[in-house]
Amino acid sequence: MVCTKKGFRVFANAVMVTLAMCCVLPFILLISSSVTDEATLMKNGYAFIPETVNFMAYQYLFQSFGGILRAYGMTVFVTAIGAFLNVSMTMFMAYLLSKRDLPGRSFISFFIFFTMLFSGGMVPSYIVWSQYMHVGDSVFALICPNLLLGGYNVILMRTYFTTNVPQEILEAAEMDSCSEIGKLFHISIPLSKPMISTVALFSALAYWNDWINGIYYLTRRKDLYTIQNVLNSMMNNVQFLKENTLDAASAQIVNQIPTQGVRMAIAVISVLPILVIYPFFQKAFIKGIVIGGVKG
Amino acid sequence: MKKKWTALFLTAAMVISAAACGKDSGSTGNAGNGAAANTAADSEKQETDEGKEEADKQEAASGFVAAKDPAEWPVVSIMYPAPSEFPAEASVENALNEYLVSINAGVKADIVQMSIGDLSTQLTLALSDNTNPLDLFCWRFYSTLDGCVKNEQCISLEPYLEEYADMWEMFPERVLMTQQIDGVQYAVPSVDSYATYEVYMLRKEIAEELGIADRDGEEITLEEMTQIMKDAKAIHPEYAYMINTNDDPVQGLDSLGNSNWLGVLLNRGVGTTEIVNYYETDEFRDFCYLMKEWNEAGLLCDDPLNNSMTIEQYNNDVAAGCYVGGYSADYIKALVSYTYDNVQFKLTDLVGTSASVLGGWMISSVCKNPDAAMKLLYLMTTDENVARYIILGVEGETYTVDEEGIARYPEGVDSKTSTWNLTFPWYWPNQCLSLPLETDFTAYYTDMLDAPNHAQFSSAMGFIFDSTNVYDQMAACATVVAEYRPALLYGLVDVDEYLEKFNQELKDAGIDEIIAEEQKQFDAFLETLQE
Amino acid sequence: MQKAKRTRKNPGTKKQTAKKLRKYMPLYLLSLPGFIYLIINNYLPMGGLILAFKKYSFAKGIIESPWNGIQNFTFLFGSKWAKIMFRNTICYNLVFLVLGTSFAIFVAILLSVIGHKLAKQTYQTLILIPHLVSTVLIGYLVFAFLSEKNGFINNGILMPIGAKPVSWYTQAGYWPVILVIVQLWRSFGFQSIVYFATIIGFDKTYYEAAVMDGASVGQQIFRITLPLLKPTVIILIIMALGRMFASDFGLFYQVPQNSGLLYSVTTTIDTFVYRTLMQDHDVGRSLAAGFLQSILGFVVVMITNAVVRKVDNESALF
Repeated sequence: MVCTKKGFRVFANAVMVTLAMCCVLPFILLISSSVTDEATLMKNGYAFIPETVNFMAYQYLFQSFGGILRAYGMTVFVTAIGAFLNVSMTMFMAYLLSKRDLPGRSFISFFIFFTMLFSGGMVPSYIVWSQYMHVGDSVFALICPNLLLGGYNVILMRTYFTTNVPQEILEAAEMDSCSEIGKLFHISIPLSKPMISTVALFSALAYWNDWINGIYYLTRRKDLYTIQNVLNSMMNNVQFLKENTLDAASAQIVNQIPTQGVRMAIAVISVLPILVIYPFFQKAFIKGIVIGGVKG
Repeated sequence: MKKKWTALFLTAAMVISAAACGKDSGSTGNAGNGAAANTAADSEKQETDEGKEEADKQEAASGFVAAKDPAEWPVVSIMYPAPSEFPAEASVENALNEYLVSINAGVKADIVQMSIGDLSTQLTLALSDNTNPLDLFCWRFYSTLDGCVKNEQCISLEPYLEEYADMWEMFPERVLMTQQIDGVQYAVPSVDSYATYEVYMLRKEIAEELGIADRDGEEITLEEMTQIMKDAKAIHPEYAYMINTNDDPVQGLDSLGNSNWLGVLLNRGVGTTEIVNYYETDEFRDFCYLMKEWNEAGLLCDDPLNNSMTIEQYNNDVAAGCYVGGYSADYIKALVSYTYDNVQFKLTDLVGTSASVLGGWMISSVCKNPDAAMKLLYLMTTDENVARYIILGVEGETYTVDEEGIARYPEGVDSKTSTWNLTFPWYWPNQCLSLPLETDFTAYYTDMLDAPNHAQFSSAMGFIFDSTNVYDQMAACATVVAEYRPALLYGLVDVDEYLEKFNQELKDAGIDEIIAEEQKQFDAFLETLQE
Repeated sequence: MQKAKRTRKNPGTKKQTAKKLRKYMPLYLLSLPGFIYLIINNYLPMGGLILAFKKYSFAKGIIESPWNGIQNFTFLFGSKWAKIMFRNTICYNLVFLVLGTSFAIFVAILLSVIGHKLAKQTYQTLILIPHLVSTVLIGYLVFAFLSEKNGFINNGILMPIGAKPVSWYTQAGYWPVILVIVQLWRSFGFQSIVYFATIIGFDKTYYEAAVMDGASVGQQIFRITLPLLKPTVIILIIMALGRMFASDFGLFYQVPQNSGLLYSVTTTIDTFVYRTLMQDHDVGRSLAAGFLQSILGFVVVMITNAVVRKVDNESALF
């Protein structure tokens, strides 16, 4: 978008700074409570500036989860492979659907959209993936179920292809006897880089944040857990122990509950890497825009 | 045109779904039938009078014979609840299996760790998976006996009553009954004291300042307790003196296994057989007023609706007193020994209810070899070594034993760094075969076994309510209780006004029908008892 | 669809279709893995929907479990909560949809006019943070602000200015606003990314021409950006309408800490189902609730799509 008015840009910056602050401040609260000791946290609640600083929580995390680095490795691996496959399949389907005169276009759109509405629920999905596809207790369990292709991304991408790739260019290419696949790779994809990187971001985030697949399908192979699996199990355990330690016999377990500080530390270490990776992602994003701009 | 398309889509979707069903049926039909359906069918046959087949089955069951070659022994998988991941799994499994071979058990064990927080998901899936089945599990922390039986997640253990008679005889009749539905045994109860009483525990230094430390162990009333807490608050206003007020025994309830108290026996069910709507009683109204008084006196924790109201608050120096339950004073002291010294005031008698039996072990309905699974379950309940391997792991590696016969963490290890989960003995079928952990109280388990001899029992001990007929009413009432009860029990609202609304909504949601149904079933239960 | 109509008038329809099929065959083939995946991942498990009408038995499996009619649905309608939970679910979704969409577009436009590359990148990264934090933690954060004794709002704002502290978790009146703010806060960054990507993809010549003609910023936004954005907005709205009867469990359960006093404004279909079935592991009943939500969402989408197609064929979803 072109904007020559300086006043408006100042306004835009001012609003964005405020919004960004709103998003960051609570996160700072998280970080500060992850280095506050337990008794203070329980007595005084959360504070932006901790009274006393200690790194027990992080120490505890890294000591009791020697596998944390391995879990990070799994996450990166799964995210990279998964997002790549997701983006490719999404692009192909979306491109097919962007052909306005495609035989069966409405039906295919509906076929895809229908999957966004109805789901058979946990048990049937589990049966299909573990008993027919045999993905259980393998790395495929983290990649295949649910996340590999989603109707939402396909439809977003399709909309982008139809609204942001000028029909004239495609027609001109057809005159030059460019094949359909040629048009996809030489025109539509280069012109759609902003949306492709968005879809890539969405699916990468979905893989990064996912913990369901691990819990469902990796019952006997916890060594394949991703970082979110490890952290989420821990959160769930804490939640569970808090709710179920009313009788004396289970009082002993309370001693094992990771402290609130640890829980906050968990959140911090699961979010930070994305904040580090995202700018690189955005570079590709920006690059896409530049190329798209030049071509457009 | 539009219609036509829509119709077409719908048809297509249905055809595809139907195809999917077909496939599903194939799987569950074939693989499932293999073992799961068979065993379920068998257990049904057990009840019907197909005498001959039953006899055959009985015979087959009564002689579980170990195959000659241990390599061919069936492997039985056991669910292992884990609040974090425990790395000693492989070595414990090896040691346990070596031992099983040495006693010619005929079965081997495979321990499957499940994160306790994900239990409800993981166990639900594992119990619907017949290709890689989970064989032995416990309903505690997951569901109820009734729930597991209704979902057909477990099989009947009736075929094994004779073969393992010595195991069943370990349990009092009423305790076994808590694991039965319609007289059919579905689970092996976890050995426990089966009865508890409640105490009010107060930090020792505060009791000393108040000059009441020498009254340790004395029995007091709620009024006296209120006074003690108020006195304590006067000298140490920085503490709260109560954590959770939602405590059945203190209010004298046998909740019939329903944490929402939809129909209860008062006096913990001792000497009464009348099921009442507790929320309508004067007892509840008085209790609510008392809680209001406590709240206004600042005795309760801040933000009780949002903070976790567990003993964690005591450990973390927020509250200086709370309720604790157990079978004896020494036992309670042993359990909370890791925090502040305390004095205890006894609030109730030692009483057992169905809710005192906290868990039961079952064979899953997807299990392919129930005979082998039962054999292992039997060993877990009766064989000291098997029980110890599972509860404490490998001696010298995951625990050590001192000269007093107490299990200790190995050098340099504590509960947070332990490689095996030593803190869940009560989860297993027979904790009393293991050793007390990190305590000075050597009679921990022997006293536990003796406790039922001194206890009173609720007239409803062994009664399991079948909620099928009033399911929707129970669901509606559960939401009403969740909406109103916490605010009343933490004294946050005007008692009379709120209580009236609460009771009205409970009536609208059908609590009377629930109670009538409970009374009907309970009367039938009492009748069969007399026979 | 218009094309289809046009071709129908043409006598050589079949031949043309065949020609098109041939022309697009490589594209169909490229998409084939996607179709297969959707069939495996989505359509096969949909067979399990029949469980909504069955009493699921773990021993018997999906097909052999006995039918029980609509018994799985009745618990939803047995109490006064039926009305409340449908009202809450729909109203919150509508508010989220309207406010969320307009706010996300607003942010996307602001982002698109910022020229400084580093600043733009920083904003984009930072506004994404809330999306990365799980709802359990958002629950903790909200509690950090609203806790009666230690909360930032009571302690840091109300007390210093001499106002009386508010007991947030016991007063239902505040919660519709709180929940809307929390939802906007955690979703605007994520939602605006889609709009942002679409806006920066627009042909710059439109704007250049407009600037030459002396168009103001407002005119550029209302005459160029928004009209060009319309198809994307419509599609996103239609997709959101499909989830009209579903709600984010975490937002309505964990953020208000499941406080009973707030149920009248925090009970949605999903929280009700969770509270009711928590202990039972009743596969049939929970599936029944989900099925009902899907059916209702489906109806809403079909109607909306039909209306959109009437008005503006190109923007329709299918």
